Amino acid sequence: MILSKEQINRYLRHIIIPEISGQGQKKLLEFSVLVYGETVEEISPMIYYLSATGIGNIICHLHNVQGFESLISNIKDYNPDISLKLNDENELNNDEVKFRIFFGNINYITNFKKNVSVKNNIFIPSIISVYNEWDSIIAYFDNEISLNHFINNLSNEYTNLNNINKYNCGYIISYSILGTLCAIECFKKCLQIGQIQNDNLYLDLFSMEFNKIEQNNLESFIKKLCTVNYENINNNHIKEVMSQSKVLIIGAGGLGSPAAYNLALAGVGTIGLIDNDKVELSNLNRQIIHSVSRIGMPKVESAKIFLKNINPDLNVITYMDYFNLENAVEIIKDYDIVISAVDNIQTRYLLNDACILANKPLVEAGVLKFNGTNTTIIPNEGHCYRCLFPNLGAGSGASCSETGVLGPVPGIMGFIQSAEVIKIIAKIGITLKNKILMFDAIDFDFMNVNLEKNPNCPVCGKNPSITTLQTYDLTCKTKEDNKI
Amino acid sequence: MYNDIVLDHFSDPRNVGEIADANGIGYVNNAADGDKITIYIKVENNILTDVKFKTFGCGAAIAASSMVTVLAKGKTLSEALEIKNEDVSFALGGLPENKLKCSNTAADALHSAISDYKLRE
Repeated sequence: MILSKEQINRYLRHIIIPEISGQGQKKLLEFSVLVYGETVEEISPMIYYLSATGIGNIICHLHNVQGFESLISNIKDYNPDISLKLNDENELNNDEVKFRIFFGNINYITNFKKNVSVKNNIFIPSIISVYNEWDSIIAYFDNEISLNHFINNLSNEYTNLNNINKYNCGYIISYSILGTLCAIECFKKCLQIGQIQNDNLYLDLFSMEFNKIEQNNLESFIKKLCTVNYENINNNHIKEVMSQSKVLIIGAGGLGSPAAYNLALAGVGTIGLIDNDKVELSNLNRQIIHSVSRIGMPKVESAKIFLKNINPDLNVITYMDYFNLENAVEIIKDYDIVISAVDNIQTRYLLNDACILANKPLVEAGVLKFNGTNTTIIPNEGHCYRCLFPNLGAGSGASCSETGVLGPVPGIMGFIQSAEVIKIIAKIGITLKNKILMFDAIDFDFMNVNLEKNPNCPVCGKNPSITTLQTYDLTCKTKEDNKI
Repeated sequence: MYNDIVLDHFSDPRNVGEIADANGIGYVNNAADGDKITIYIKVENNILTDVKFKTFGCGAAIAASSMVTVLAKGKTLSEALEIKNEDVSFALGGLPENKLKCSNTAADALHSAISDYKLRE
């Protein structure tokens, strides 16, 4: 067999995707990437999702190595297939490196001016990911001239020499989402899926706007990134309201992992986690808050260990249970905001109705294969799930087969959910209210679809027919049997 | 839950892809389970000189598709029509009981490709 039984189990959700299969997974495990970053905190989400994807060799070149040893031991426990090490400049051996990622704030990236090494005149394909609070650019380069041109441009436009507060929410959101996008790019580069040379993007996560960068507008986007200004955002105030907030996350899996991770980093006061499953090896291609040593442990407990490790002050409340008709109202009432990180449509309907009736914002996401969606439901203000799909149609939740999902895709969606939560709590920015964000990892495309509240909606319309929670056909009987 | 032969064919499937100049294409859709199997055949002088597949579905469906291409390649049309779903699961060393009905349909897709070929003739 080309993969061990353990590997087949771990990467099951990848292998089942025809574009990846076992052969693709093997290639990923043999791939090597060199990551340039400033601090361990900033590169950690990327390292987790590179490891989740099964990129076998990760070499890091860090400005500040503090905390790297503990990241190594965490990754070893998360995925022992991965070799993670520091690059020693003196013995830089680029021969094995097939891809480079330059990752950091503008100050850090401009340090690479005239400093990007090219060995034996062979340019290693590279991604630059650069962020300025809530805004960022991710761009691919296949030659030295355009890469240097980009960095020079950045350095010419950037005049802010003030100290950057790297630990405000905007930065945390940016480096998490961007790092995860880098993991996707690494995957695509390795398997030659999609057209990576067209993947240049400008992300404005404050307003949830995403723009493709073309050759002719590159300079204007660089200018925008360098001059964007969030000075009027009171980060101390955000910190304060975050620390008093209680967020409920339904599901401690592929979406719940990144959402909880980011909220813990951003300093939310209380996270409630509900999930009835135990950690399995096949979760670990995407569920970064769990690990090999915690296989068999209830997911909520495993998640709590991870989250407390990031933020010891965080209050984590765990519910090892299914979210259902009996407990929905009772659990939701204690929280300010709910994150839907579930894997079935029945629970989505239940959650939608429960949040509308309890008047709690609901931050929703879903993923399949290489695609993901996000939307934010603010009762009384915007659309809800039933505005779009009034009823749970017969058979619509019947598919039990696993279509598979690329690990970093729920990562992006879950991190976006945490960004939505922060914006709602802090009352800043523009959320995905009355919008659906659709992400396609292969085309590297984020698309916003505008929606409106439906006046005839059965739960949030003018004359609602649903005024209490109903019974939903909750379980798919053969789910356990069809897991593989 | 799967034996080594199944895991091998699932993780390293043989004959994946399309045949550009296929002269028969067969499908099986299992809407309830989401399995979709497409088999492409190239027939020359009554012999299946090439067989390829594209399958979206669970591990058993992928392994069965892979195995059916291995079994059918080089066979005559009438020999290929003799390959039944049970032969595929037998060649795989057995499939779990709950997978036999829903995912072991690759031979049906092969037969559908052969019918398509005959219709085109």
